[in-house]
Amino acid sequence: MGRFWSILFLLVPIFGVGVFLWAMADWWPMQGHWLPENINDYGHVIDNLFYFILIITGIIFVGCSLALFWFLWKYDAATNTEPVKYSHGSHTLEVVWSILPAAALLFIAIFQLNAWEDQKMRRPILNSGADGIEGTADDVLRPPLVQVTGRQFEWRIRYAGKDNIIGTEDDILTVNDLHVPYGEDIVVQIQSMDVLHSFFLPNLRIKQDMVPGMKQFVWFRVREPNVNNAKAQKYDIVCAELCGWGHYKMRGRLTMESRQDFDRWLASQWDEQNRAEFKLTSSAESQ
Amino acid sequence: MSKFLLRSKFDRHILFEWILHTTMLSFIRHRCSWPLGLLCVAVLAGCGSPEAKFRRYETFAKKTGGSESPRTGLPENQWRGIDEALAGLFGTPDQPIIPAVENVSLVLDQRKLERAAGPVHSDELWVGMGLYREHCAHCHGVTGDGNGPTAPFLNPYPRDYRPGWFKFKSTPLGAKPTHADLKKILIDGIPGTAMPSFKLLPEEEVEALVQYVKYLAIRGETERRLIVLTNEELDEGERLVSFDVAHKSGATEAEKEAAQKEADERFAEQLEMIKETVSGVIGRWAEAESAAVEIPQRPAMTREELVASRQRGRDLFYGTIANCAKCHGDSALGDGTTNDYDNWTKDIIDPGKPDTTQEMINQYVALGFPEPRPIKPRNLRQGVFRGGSRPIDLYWRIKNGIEGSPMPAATPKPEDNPFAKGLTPNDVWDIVNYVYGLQFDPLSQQPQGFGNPLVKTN
Amino acid sequence: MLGKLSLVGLMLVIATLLVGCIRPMAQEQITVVSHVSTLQEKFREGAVEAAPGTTAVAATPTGWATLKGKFTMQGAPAPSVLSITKEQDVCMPGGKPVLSERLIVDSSGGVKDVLVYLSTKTPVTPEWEHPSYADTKTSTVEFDQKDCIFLSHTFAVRSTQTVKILNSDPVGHNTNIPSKGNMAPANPTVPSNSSVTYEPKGESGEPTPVSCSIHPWMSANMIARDNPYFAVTKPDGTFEIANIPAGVDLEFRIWHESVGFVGKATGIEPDKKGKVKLKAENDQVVEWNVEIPAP
Repeated sequence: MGRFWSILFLLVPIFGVGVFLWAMADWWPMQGHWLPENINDYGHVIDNLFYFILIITGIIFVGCSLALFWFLWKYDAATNTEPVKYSHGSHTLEVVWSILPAAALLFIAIFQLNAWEDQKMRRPILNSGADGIEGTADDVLRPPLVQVTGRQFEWRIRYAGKDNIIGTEDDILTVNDLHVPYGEDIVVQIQSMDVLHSFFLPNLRIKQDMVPGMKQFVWFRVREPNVNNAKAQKYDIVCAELCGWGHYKMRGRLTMESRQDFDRWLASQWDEQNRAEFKLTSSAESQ
Repeated sequence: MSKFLLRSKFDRHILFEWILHTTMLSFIRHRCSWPLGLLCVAVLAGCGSPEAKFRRYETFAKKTGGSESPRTGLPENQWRGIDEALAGLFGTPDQPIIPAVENVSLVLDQRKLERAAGPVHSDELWVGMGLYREHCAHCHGVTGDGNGPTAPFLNPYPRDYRPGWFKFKSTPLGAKPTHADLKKILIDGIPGTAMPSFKLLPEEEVEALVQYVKYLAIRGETERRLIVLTNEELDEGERLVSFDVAHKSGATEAEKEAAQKEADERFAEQLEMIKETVSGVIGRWAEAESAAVEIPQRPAMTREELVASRQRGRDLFYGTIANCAKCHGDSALGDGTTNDYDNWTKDIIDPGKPDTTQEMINQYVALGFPEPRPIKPRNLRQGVFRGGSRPIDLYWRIKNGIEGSPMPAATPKPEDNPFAKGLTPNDVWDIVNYVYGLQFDPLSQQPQGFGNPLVKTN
Repeated sequence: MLGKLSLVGLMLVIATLLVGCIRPMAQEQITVVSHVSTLQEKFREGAVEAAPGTTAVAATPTGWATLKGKFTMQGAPAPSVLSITKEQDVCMPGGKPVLSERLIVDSSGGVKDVLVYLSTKTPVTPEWEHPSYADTKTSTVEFDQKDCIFLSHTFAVRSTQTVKILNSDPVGHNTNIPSKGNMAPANPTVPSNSSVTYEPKGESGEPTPVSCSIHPWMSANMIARDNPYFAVTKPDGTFEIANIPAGVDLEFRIWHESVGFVGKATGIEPDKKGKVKLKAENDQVVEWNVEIPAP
């Protein structure tokens, strides 16, 4: 056998790093396995944090794997004739390998504070309130455009309508089909009707558990694509929390479109929602 | 215990197909990573499932046969006659066929049916097949009996299509739903139940599924009628279709020929009878397409007029013409009548009758009948309307009643008699307006239903 | 040892999981392949033609007869008391307990509400329908309710007739008639002191249970028949069907809510499904004095 095992263990970091690089390069057969396109103006914060942590853990992973390889190589039983030495441990070493990871974790915790606040606390504002200073307590927060309620197994969607208040008579109801305009700060109020769900918009780098009984907000902003007559773009909404036997059914669709198209779509939904006449001849087909 | 195990069956094919779907298809169909998909196929290849089969409608046969009938309603011999007649008309879950009778093309489309039938797979062009078992069967069952593996965990239970009753439709009580009615349910789902929305499925997949639901309903209705036929018209032990010729031992050629002729005649008669039965069922479905109830336009209203309309609707809600509050409760919380059962239950056994014992119910439960649960009048203050919340949806529910449920149809006011009691179309609109407004009242208050006065409506 | 224990444990867990998935289900279909393919072929051909002259009843009536009689029962259980949960001022006049009408036997043992009807499929031709029934063919019959009781507990109509559902109470009712056979279902609200109409349009082979969703204790039975030959026994247990076709083989069915189809009786010989064969002579008065065993 010789040094078979040490070589095998050396393959772990090589293969591991290789798969990551392969996927990042989008080569066959790993196309589409790396992060999906980010369309959220605020999404790069999450991506940066992800890469930062990936690099740290990557370095540690490679280092550990190489150390393991080196020990296996050096102290291979077949070639090593020296007798075994027993050690009763090294206090210094233990302190070092406790403190170093702790420090690293603490560093990450502090380093990400800003990203956390951006995602969870600094909800976009409408205006800065009476004092004219942003970030103070009297800021007027941007009201949610739409409420998304997770339910076994679909997304019930409720637009606040003209009065910007959810739960009033001018709300517009739909299901699984979320339309949102480009170029605006969008606040989405998310709730669960039954069990834990997770509202996951991969292309927006948003993933938030919906906890029954809690009202939460997520926000994003998508820049209009720099293409003339940009068509509506469609993205996935998925549930990222195993919520029951029909978890896989919880797919929704996010449609990004211009404000104009969005308003038109919303108006058509409103008209359909208020259909108050039915004639056999004309509408039997479209009912 | 062992007896119970022996008698019980377990829908393995659905479970396996379901696992196959959740793992493999999510890779193959939606995100195109075939290496991972192949891995799953390799892992699951060992779990081949038995061919799916339709199940007998034993609860109905037992009910029709009465207390003297065998445990499963009919003797095995008669069951096989029904099994074969149905297989001859409708094929199997993997290879459905549409019965060759008049008008069937108005109702069913063989090509679409095939898309929805069979095990979950993709054809050579990567077109998804087996849609019914992918999306529906784990609740509604391969047979459409509302008894799939996940059914016992749901409240309300998934719909049993076999009696051919559908709740949310534009047609009057007793008529079948239109194609568009069923399609709406698939697209919008049924809020307040476990039926999710299939809005994002491609149009042709929804079409195929609607077709398949109709197919299962028609098959079930035919099975019911054949069971009644077997019970009422046939002699004891006689099969619905018989293939055997009774030869006496030592019969002469002439006798044999006569026996053969008699058997042929009987066979032709039997086929005719079956064909008539299925024609009757299909005819009802074909009629439904033009049976939707028209709705006169809701009068345009200002905010004040709307409030006044809701006030009138409120009076009707509590009055003795519409009688809404009697079941939906004075609070409109759905607490008026809570001890009634739906027709799917009462059709087999009515637990509300004083002489119904648990032992009688258990006889049916042992045949796969779901444990009966009382039907709840809708809580109107949640804004959750199962058949849709558009004004026309609410109008249809009030005007037509809800098939299979205790919800009655409104009594129209006769046009020629101004003194007769009843509801005019505008009265129904008043009730619709009132009921829709109830969701905006705080639950701590008595229902007012006048909506949010802050909001202008047009 | 430990390994074995954990293996046994694992198997127990798997067994428990599998048992959890097992529940009672109806039997799957059993078919003979050759039979099914023959049938499919025959249906596809569309060449399914009935042999001539075999479906219709061969004979025609030679005249008319009368069927009358009385149903009795000994040792009938006392009727149960209904629980009136709503609107007691109307539905419990005088606060007196309301008794179930499921089985009512008078002092002479006569059973009320036994349904007797001709179950033979007869052609709708003048030879089969006595002229005395012409008037009732499309007439309107009343089905009333008072004090939250259906006044006709078991009710039979011709499928061509119109039923006027009355409400003689100051409270609203609804009359839920579920579908049965070809009988059309209906569930109209019946405003107080008012009426609605219902057309059965088709016949059913057995009665359908009528109920009121607002007052769930209310119950009745309704059957619609294409032919006019049916009767419901009066409170003293007697009934009469006049002018039944004579000289032909007929089959009547007997039903009562408490026993379903009357499969056992003395005085006549019903089969298990409550069917009684009868061939009457012209102008004969057939008299049945039947005793039904108590349920």
